[in-house]
Amino acid sequence: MSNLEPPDLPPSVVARALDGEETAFALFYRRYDPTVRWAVGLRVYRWPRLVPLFDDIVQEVWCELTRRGCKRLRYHDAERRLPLWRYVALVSGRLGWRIAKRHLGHQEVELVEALEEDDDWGVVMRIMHADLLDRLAQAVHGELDETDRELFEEYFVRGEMLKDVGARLGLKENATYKRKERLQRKLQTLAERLLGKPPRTEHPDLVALALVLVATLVEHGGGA
Amino acid sequence: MSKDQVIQVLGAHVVMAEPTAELWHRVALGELQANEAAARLLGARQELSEDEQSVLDRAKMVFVPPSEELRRAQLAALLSRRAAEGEDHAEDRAVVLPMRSPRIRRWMVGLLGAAASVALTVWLLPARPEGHPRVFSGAYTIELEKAADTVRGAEPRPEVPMYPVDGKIGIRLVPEEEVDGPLGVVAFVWDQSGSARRVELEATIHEHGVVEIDTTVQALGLTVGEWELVLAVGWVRALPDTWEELVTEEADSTDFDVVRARVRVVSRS
Repeated sequence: MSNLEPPDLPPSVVARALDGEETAFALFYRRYDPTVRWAVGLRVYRWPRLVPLFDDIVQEVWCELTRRGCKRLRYHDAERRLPLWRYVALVSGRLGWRIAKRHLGHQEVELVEALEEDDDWGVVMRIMHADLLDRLAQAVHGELDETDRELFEEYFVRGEMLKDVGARLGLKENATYKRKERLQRKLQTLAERLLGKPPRTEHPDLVALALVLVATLVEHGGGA
Repeated sequence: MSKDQVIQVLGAHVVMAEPTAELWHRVALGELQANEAAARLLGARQELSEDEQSVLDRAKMVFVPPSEELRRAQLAALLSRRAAEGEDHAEDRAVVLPMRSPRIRRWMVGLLGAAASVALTVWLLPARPEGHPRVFSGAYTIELEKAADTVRGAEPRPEVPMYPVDGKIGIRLVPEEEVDGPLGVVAFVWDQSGSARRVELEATIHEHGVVEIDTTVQALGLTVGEWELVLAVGWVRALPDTWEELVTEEADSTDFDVVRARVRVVSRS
């Protein structure tokens, strides 16, 4: 990602902007609007149908960023190494992708996203704040097979329609959807591995049961 | 957690890391003309396919910075939306980052240390020499005078004072406590678009720190519409020169106070 951006606003100004102080928010808007427009523009300009809607999409992204007392923006941790502008760009790029897909009528994206879900942005926030996205992108190239890589590039990067991507890959619609779901889980696991978190098991109860059994056996063995 | 957030953010990251993204970034920041960016992307190529040309044209349209009018309108719409959302979600303001919890103890230790240092400093510092400006009390209120009286019958008085475009405005800044020292005032007018303008005013500073400004709507450069007058009053040497300085230093400054008042300018009386 380029590093052309001017310096971030001081944290005290950002805090006042997010708290709703109009003058500080106006300064915040002027500082970060070019960032938002750039991040959203990258998700939009390849689609002729979206270009006339670009200003509306940018405004929708701003509305999402500032919804519920700027909840999304408050997740940024100024003490970490991720600059605020980069955080704004990433979150805007993601929101822009979702909103663009809605305008394009790509129904495979859940169109209503409850902000409440973001209360648990744990892994993605830690990945962003630790500046590990480059390493995650390398892992995508190193560890995913050709089909998954293609699916990632065409669907999550280019924003193509899922069924079109599936058709090019020779997959049926249902199989494409399942493959996309599996790809999301794989990326989640890769991210957790980068963060040093043990990957989640599909059957946590069985593992717990096995551990209890082993402990019981050891205890009985020791007592004999 | 929603299972698609990692992959969607990664998608945004990959798009931003593409080589062409940097050029468009410079265009969005206003550092490079869109045509110049397109020329650099073309490089030595003489011709483009119809599709390539169309993508390039769309990129030029999207990344070129918007007009000042559009930016003002979008900011005004956002501000009204935020005001409408208001206190409904006041509880959302205190988001606790899960990753921050281990640091609380360190912060507490740091804060206790800082508090001890402050206490020691206050105790050990010698008394201020004679003639040094008094500590700025930092609390002023603004009173507006000469507003147009448009109240008729039982209509409630408007919340925002109104001034005819050819009228006068009287501004009085009153300190909560007596202020004695080299006082000054700088004034800005702001129309909610984010761009504020400094205005030069002649202020009369009375004893005890009361400031009076007698001016006109025209002298302030105000046109019909709603405006905010933002005044910084405090020690002359510490006053902000620019709007950015004012907004940035306002919260922390102990040398000046910032007061605001909204006014509505209406067509001629």
